Amino acid sequence: MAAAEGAVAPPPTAAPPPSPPRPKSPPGYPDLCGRRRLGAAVQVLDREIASLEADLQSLEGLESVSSCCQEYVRVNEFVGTNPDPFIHTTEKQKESHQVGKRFRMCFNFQWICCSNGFPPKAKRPICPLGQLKTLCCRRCHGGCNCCSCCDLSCCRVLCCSRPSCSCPEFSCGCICSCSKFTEKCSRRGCSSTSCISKCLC
Amino acid sequence: MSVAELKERHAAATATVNDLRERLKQKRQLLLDTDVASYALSHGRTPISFSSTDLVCCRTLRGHTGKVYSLDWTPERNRIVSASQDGRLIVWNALTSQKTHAIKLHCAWVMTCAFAPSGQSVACGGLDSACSIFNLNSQVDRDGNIPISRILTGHKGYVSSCQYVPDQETRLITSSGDQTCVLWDITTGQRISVFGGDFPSGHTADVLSLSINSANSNMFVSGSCDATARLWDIRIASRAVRTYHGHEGDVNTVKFFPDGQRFGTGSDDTTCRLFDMRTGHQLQVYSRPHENNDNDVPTVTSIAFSISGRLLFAGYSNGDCYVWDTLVAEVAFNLGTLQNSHEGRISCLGLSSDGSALCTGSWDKNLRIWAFGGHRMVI
Repeated sequence: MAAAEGAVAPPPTAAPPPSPPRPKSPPGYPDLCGRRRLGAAVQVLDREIASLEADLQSLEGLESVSSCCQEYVRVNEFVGTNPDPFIHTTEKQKESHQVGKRFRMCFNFQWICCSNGFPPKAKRPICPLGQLKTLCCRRCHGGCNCCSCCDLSCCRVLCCSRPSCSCPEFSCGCICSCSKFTEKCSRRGCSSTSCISKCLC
Repeated sequence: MSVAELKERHAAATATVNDLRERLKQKRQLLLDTDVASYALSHGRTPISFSSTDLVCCRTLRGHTGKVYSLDWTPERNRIVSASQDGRLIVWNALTSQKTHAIKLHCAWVMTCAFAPSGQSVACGGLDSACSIFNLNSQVDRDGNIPISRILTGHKGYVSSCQYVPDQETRLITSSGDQTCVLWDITTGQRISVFGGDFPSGHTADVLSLSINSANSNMFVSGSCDATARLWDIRIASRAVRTYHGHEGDVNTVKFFPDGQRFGTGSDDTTCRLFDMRTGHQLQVYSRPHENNDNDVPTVTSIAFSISGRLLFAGYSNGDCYVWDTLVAEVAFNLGTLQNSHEGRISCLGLSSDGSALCTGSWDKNLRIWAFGGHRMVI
């Protein structure tokens, strides 16, 4: 029987779409990477244990710190036999000698301080207190202004006062270094990465 | 062994390590009946002091266009090599401030440099994980650069520090981010010995610094991010001779005392420490005086002893350079307070071989040379 004129035929019943393929669940393989990592970590700890046990053993019968301190103080008492260029002489050493005038002069060790124009073996100028600046002041490098000197420190080669300058802000770029690649980080004050423990900024 | 069993073993081993560390700390504490300062002061030793004009800056070495990371003096005292983030090594005549060599590096990320005993070669290393050797007498290539004469490859991490074995032109020791130190034969480019790594008692984190004992060049000490310093005998690479505990942060710098019986360290925990090499005892802690703002205490980046050992120069991350009186553990002077001091972190410092001049390198791109300019008695 033909459908009545004007009637809308019901839509054909659509077959349900096939269900999408589902991947199979991964097989129950052992987590090899995790196991190896753990195994390596345990080995490191075992080595640390052996080392710490050896350290503990070495403490048996060890003398106390005070005997090491005694030795250290004794070593320092012999400073006079190995004079230290950074340590001034003491008052005690002048007792049995004629006391000379007190000058600021460049000593044997100050080869670098007073060598600008004064060969190490040449006689160095003595700058008594209150002497004119021209005796000792030197032209300063790099556009610095030569400050007043020689009233107390005539042996300064560079007596400049640095012109004030503003330092530009540098962004702290950190570099990560690994064996196979380098990657530039941009975080300021970045913390340790898996590649290196300290970032270079 | 299953993962679960391994996890159990890991937890048990961790507990054992922590327990052993605690026992070691307590045993050391029982032996810590005094320190150097307490002993010295109780025996009438007096501090050294400096006036504001005693220590002077005699030279400012300008030329780098990036942060200075490392410096080294020649044994004959009048030349300095410096390494900078600008990717260059510069060799300076310390007397005249002139640059005698400017070496462009293949890898700009250099962290360390060193002069050979003869003063004819320099070595450097950094994030390229290699140590490059340059002969200063080599003919330059057509770009005007000194070519590499040898490259030492083998580290699996950055090279943090390098030092030639005293009086041996062909032997060099490097420290690395791969947790090892290596002794190299420069002639062949081969590793002679590896200290740490797979062997027991090696460092368990990046090694940042090393110092060879000038009194006995078979021994060297290394400092690491694992907060320890370790003593090594180059003839016995299989294990460290001794481990020195005490610091609470990365040990950035180590330096032997002049007589070779002690060594100093500087750390991210803001302290310097003095250790006795033979016994392992921590003899003294040099802590900065407490400041108002305790939140950002500067870390120690570099140290050097004066020629007598009485003074310890320490560079800090805020530009300070303390002169410690090692006997009484007091700050004798701070070079950072001087008008012409550095304007940034002090990254490196070193004393000339005759002990008369101190050179400091900084992130302000400059190097400065300091000497004693104070009173001497005329007798």
